[in-house]
Amino acid sequence: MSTNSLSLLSTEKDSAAKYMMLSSLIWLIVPSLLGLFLAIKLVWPDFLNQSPYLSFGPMRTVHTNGVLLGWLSMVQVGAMYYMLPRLLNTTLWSERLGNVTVWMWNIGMTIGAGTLFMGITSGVEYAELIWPLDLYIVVMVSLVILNAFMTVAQRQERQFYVSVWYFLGSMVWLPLVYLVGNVPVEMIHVPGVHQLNMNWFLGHNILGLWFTTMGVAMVYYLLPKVTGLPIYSHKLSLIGFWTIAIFYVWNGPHHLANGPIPPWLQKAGIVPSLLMIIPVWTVIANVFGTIKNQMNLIRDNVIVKYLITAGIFYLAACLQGPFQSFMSVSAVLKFTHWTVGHAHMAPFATFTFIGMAAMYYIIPRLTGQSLYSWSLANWTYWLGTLGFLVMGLSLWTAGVMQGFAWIDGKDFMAVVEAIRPYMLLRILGGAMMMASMVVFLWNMVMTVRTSQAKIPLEQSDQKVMVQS
Amino acid sequence: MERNTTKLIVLSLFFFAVGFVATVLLPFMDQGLMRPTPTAEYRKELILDQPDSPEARGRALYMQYGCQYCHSQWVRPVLADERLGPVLRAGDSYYDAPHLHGSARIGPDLLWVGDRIPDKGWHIQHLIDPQGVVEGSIMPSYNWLTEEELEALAAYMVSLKYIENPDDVVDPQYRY
Ligand code: HEC
Ligand code: HEM
Repeated sequence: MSTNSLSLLSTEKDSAAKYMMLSSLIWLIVPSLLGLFLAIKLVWPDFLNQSPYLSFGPMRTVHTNGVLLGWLSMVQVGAMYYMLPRLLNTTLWSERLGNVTVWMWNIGMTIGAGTLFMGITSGVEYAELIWPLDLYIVVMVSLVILNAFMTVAQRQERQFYVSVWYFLGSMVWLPLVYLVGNVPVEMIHVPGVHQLNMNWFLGHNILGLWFTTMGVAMVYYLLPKVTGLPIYSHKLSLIGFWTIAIFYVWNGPHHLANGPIPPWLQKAGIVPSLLMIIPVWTVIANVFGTIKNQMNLIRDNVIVKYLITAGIFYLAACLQGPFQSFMSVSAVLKFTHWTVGHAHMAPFATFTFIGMAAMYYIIPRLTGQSLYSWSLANWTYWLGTLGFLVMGLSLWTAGVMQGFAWIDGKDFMAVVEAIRPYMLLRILGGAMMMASMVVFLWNMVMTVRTSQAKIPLEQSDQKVMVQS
Repeated sequence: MERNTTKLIVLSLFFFAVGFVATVLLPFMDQGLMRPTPTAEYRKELILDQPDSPEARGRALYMQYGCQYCHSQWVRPVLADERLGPVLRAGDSYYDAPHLHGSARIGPDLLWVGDRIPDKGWHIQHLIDPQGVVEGSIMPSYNWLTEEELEALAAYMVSLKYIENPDDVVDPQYRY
């Protein structure tokens, strides 16, 4: 790297994508480590409990906000900075503005984490940052949106590839979803039930109209690039887009199943939840349709393996989701560890995997170095996948046990005792996931730092193809 | 539309708006969701109207230390919640800012904990040494809180009680 590329607000081509993605690693590693600490605390409550700053509640908020607003959002925006110009045959409208958002994101996350550790919180799950920070985020996201739409405006390619749809849809929805979920109720009175409803409007739609749509855009970009195969069906991908656009936004109330809301609202949340099978099915059909004659790619190409696995877990999450949204099922599973298992599947085993796949593809192309080690990438894959399965299966088992034991009227502490082995297993799974991320970090750092002979970029594509 | 940015944006906004109006705005028209219960009035007097009361201070600490990530305050008309006291009514949290209904039960539901455990001393002791009070508990100790803070949290816990509601004539039927 030249010193020029290290300057604070570089105008070098693709520098915003590169720095956004590389700095997102901080927000993968640190908040995930806190997650592992939380898992330990749920077995040994005295672990790291010597000061208010390290206690369970604040640490949990830094964990969730860190991985979602930090890592996942940043790696996805970084990928968009890289992919959007290429899809539109142009350059990013302003690299400098892009780099401004890289700084704003990292500084904002640092301040955010600091306030949350100090217990300065709005108290609303997934919207814990206090309103001045929300305003900061709105400004920051507006700059991202401006850059995206100006890039579209100066495009050379008239036709929108499906990834562009998904990126632009995400840009439209994110600010709206965020604003609804962050109305400062200390200042504007909103009755508690409506707060709950708006809380889960955010909680659900930030997943469906931000992480999901950005992640799907990335898959539709990466899969044909990496395999050299055309996407199976363009039409199917558009059906997927519009079903998400039409139905996802209705899903919020399924988080209030059996809650103090009228039956019509319950149903308004449940029916669209069932329809969510359609968009996930279009993605799965397209992914498998694309590689169906070359299934060997799953074995031979680490990136394809990541994308396929992400797709399978996406399907699983979206089969669990509608199931959980039934009032009878929710009556058993709500408030148990089951939900936590579900809540890790899509963000980790789907969208984190897609983020990692994107970095394996993009970072070598931006640094001109081939990936430091594909065999380490394989380690990351297996540790992550198996680690998640251990964690997910233990949480789902524990959740089902809790749900039925409570119905049976078992003593609360007896249930806590009964699921302790599963909480221990969860720590094991979490440790494997953590190990997977550390290997990933190492691989990325070495890719950027090692001064190998530069290889032509087209060739690095080939390398992806043949090396496992 | 595959070339037209404006159409794409307008349609995306439109479908979003439909879902938003239906699931977020329409409920505001539902009178059943807009009527505070006596429980809500009681909590308003203690907390919203007296921001310096121990209960208000306790609620702020509850939020600050994230008790809501382990404790729901949300009793449903379902078998699993049958022994937790009266079912949560929409109006019960009418004045809450923010709501603290929570989404997990790593510990028991606390919606009516004041009825179950009305003894402040118990709460203080439990916050200082949960394992000493309940063997095998995985609730973390809050022994680094000041005496005043412990008092406040305990006062808030005790204030979480059910106030008789004349509208609550029908007993919830436990459906699932
Ligand atoms: C890591 C999760 C966790 C956190 C955080 C937590 N608790 Fe608990 N809490 C539990 C568990 C588990 C129990 C059941 C065992 C026991 O009584 O200690 C419990 C029990 C209780 C009880 C007794 C309820 C009953 O019906 O027996 C009260 C009251 C309580 N917690 C209050 C609080 C307050 C106040 C805070 C925040 C300062 C808090 N808890 C934070 C897990 C937690
Ligand atoms: C698309 C189909 C999906 C449906 C219908 C669905 C439905 C649900 C339901 C019913 C809950 C339970 C809420 C509760 O009982 O408290 C839930 C929780 C959750 N889901 Fe999904 N889900 C889907 C996919 C996803 C995806 C794609 C993600 C992530 C990107 C995700 C992340 C979460 C999270 C984080 C929670 C936890 C909320 C909490 O803290 O309680 N889900 N989902």
